[in-house]
Amino acid sequence: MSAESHSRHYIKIWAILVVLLVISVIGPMFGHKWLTLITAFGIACVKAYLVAKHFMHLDIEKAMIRWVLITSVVLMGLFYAGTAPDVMEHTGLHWTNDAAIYASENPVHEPGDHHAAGAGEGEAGHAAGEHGGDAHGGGDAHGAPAGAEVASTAEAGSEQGGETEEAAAPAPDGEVAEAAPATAGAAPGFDAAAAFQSSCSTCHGEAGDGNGPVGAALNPKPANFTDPAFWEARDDAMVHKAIKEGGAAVGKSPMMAPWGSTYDDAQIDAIVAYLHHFNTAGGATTEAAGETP
Amino acid sequence: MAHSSTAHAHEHAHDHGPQGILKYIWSTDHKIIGMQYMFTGMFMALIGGFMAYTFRMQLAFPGADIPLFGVVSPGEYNALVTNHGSIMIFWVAMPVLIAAFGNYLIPLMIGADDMVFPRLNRLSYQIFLLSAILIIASQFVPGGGFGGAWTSYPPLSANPAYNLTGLGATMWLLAVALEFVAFLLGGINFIVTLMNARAPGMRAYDIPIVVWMIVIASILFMLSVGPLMAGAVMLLFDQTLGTGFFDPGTGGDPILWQHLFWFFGHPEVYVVLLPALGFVAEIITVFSRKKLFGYKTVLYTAVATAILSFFVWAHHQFVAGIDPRMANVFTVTTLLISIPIAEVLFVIIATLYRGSITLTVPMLWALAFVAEFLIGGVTGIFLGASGADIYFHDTYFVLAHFHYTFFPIAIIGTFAAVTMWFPKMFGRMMNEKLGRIHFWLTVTAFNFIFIPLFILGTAGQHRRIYDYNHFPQLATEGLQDLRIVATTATVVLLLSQVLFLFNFFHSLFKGEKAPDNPWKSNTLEWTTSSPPPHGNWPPDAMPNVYRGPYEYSVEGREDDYWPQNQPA
Amino acid sequence: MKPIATTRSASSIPTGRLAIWWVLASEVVIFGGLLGSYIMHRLGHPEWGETAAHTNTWIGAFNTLVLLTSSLMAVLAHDAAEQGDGKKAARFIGMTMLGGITFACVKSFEWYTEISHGFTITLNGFWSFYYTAAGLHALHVIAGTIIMGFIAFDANRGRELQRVELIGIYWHFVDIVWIFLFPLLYIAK
Repeated sequence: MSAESHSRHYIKIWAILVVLLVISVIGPMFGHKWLTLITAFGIACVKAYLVAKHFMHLDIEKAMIRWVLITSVVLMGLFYAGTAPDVMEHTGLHWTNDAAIYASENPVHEPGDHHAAGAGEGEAGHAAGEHGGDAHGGGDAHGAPAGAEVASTAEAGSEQGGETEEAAAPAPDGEVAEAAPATAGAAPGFDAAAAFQSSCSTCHGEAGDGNGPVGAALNPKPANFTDPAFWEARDDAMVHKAIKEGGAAVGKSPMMAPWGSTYDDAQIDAIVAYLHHFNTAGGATTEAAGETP
Repeated sequence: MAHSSTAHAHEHAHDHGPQGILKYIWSTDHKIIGMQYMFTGMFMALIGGFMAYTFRMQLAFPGADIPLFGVVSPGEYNALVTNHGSIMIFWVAMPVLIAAFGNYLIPLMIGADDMVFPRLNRLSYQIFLLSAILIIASQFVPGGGFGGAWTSYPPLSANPAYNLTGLGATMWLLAVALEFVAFLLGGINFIVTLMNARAPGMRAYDIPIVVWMIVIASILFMLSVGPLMAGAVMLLFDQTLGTGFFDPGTGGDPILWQHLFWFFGHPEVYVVLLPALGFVAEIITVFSRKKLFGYKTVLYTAVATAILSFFVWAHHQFVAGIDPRMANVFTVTTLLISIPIAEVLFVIIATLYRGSITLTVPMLWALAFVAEFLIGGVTGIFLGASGADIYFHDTYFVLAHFHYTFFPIAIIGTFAAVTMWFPKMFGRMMNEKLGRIHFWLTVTAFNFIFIPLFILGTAGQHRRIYDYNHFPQLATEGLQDLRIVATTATVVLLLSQVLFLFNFFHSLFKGEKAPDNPWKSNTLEWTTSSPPPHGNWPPDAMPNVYRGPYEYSVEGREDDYWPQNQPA
Repeated sequence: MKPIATTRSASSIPTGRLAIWWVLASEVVIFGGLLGSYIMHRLGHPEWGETAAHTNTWIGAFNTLVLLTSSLMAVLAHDAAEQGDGKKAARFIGMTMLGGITFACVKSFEWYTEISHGFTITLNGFWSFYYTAAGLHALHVIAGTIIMGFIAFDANRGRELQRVELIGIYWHFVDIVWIFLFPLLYIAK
């Protein structure tokens, strides 16, 4: 008899749960934000309470078990409270998350939109690449997710007593934003300028002059591609080898990392060709031509 | 190795399972599993120690051809420091302090014949072994081992294009995640065993402190590791599927990983500290022949430490760009947590006061723990204050502070426990004289490694740098000499472990036979034979408990100890 | 033979049930970390609301109904096991398993449709969390269904009936996780 009443009790709870489910589905149809939130999450809490109490029998379980479960939920609240102030924001002390800001301003509606957005980023990336010519100049002009912020954030980091972690955390914010447009370039799937900005410029500088934010601390200095003497002492095959297998492979500084696993031979050739445009001896830019004797 | 007592073998031969060598591999006996953990941990310690040797040599003699290794390349250097840290924490400290001694001691000390879930226990070890194999294998895959530091911060760890070790990074992450699963299974087993399987008569305050400590540590681990498990899945998807949870290039948030990691990572410090404090508390009472000063104080401060340790994690991120208001909160909580730990150390000192102290080898290790850990704790005050931390962050000061806490915990604590329970584990005594020489060499060499590193840290030497000759202000001769001192001491420290290994294996086979209770201790594990048979006690003579574990030098008794299972 | 330790119950909670509660505590923090990370990202990205509009509320609601019903079957199985009726318990577990299988099939149909429309895990942050959270939950559903197969096999022969309650507690927890995932991923738009 009592078994019979047990199962009837369980079926009654199930019926209540189903009614609550219907309400939570109907709630959003009225289009009121607060009504939606209450019907969605308020009812979820009620449903969870009913399941825990009547199906899991937490009401007749030892009090200690309830405390264990409550503790674990409270700890998650603590985790949320300590973490959310940083993660909910897209800017903070000495850093901005440009890609996140860009994403919240340019939402992706349909899968097709993504490509459009990608192309937009690509243009922004190009712009930054071109303006990279004047050393730290890029910083102010572009609101788009470009590497613009890198220089300023890294500087802020080094002012803070040369904190490597400080620099390491925010710097990629901008840098990586530029890696994305690499795929959207004109060449078949590869953009040497963007690759240079994302992989090389931290040490070799956005202007290729060996004065990147990280390179400043290195001894010997990173190679200066604007220096004609650099190009007289090397041929393309050697530069290619240095990029592919690292500086040590050609008898130069081991601080030059090998990139062979990131870029294939054709891509490295494209990068080497791109490096030539920094060479002031080539008379590529007018102000540089003025400096050469 | 523990041999099943032949006297009782016929009584429950059917639950022995496989015989011969398989008995040790497929056993569900908690003592065998504890030793599997211990030997695996010791083997991993040798690997981790060798890694320390290679990168210390590189730092002292940059670019040199290092004996037994060769020239260290920058990529290899990163992989070596990363995996030294990961292995020493996850595959040495955790398995030896918690899993090995937890498995071995908990059932014996609470008077049970095994863990409540013996097969789950075996599964836990097997998953752990798999994770250990995976982390070793990751060193030899194309691209080399993961080099993004044991904290594995994204974006460096999130994308193979940044860290250049795609396979190594993924294997590292999988190995760590598997290791967590193994300890979750093991930890649940410990908790339930203590809660349900205590001997008749054993009340909450009759449980030896070390058992409390290991179980509190297991609870702490279980409740803190969850977010990191979720984070590991997310990071794995970042690495393999190309999602953008942590990669700022796609709008993800690298600081989220730091929070997920340190929400686990700081309680983790106390996960390994508490068992070590437990060993020390046990050893100090036994060799002072005095009741532990303030049993409840120790227990409640351990609980308070565990709770507080959830509130301090962001002190690792003071300069990562977190909200400055949070830095204030976390500075206060961080400085608060030194109070309960100091309290435990005072209790230990008060226990020593006017005791009849015998300086056996385990006692020496326990005292060294107190002395060395104190230095680690005090230097932590500087780092917990956010103002000072801006200068000290990521320097060798942090590194030396960290090692002054973890070396006492993981190495000194382990040696204390091994020398204390070796007679029970293997039924033989260890050599005292060799033990003393090994003790003095290890502790002296340890200080000679890390005191120079404190000085280097205050001189501004940053961590995780391949060759300081690239930095003119750090390439001076004086600083280089300090690096050479630290490296020499590292080599001495590692070589002196040969003495320990010799002592361990020689005593294992040739040592003097140990009596059941060589230290005249009260706790239950000493009331059975050395080594204990399968099932620990005969099934019809399981112990009953009549009193607390620390009744030493009770007035009016002939013996100065009073075993827990002796009727009044 | 079980060790003596397994038969003791100093806390007066049966050993298996005590262990399953601790398992759930560790699951709470795993799902808590993931959902907490999702919620804080969601609040920082108001534009995800428009993305979430592409999820199918009706499929989500149907799956909620399936899980609620299978929870009812699990608790009825527990009831039968308490009365020592192994065969009846096994039947009810079978129905719970049917719920789990239905859930998994609907889920894979849903994902197949979404992925073929280009809503992949890498499209944006919302979809990354959508697939990760629902995937982790689906993994629990599948694992629970498999374990129930073994328990139903035993229960049908009248063995290990206490396990019927244990898997039931686990299954209700999986249900509760879904109760929260449903509004988080489908309703809040």
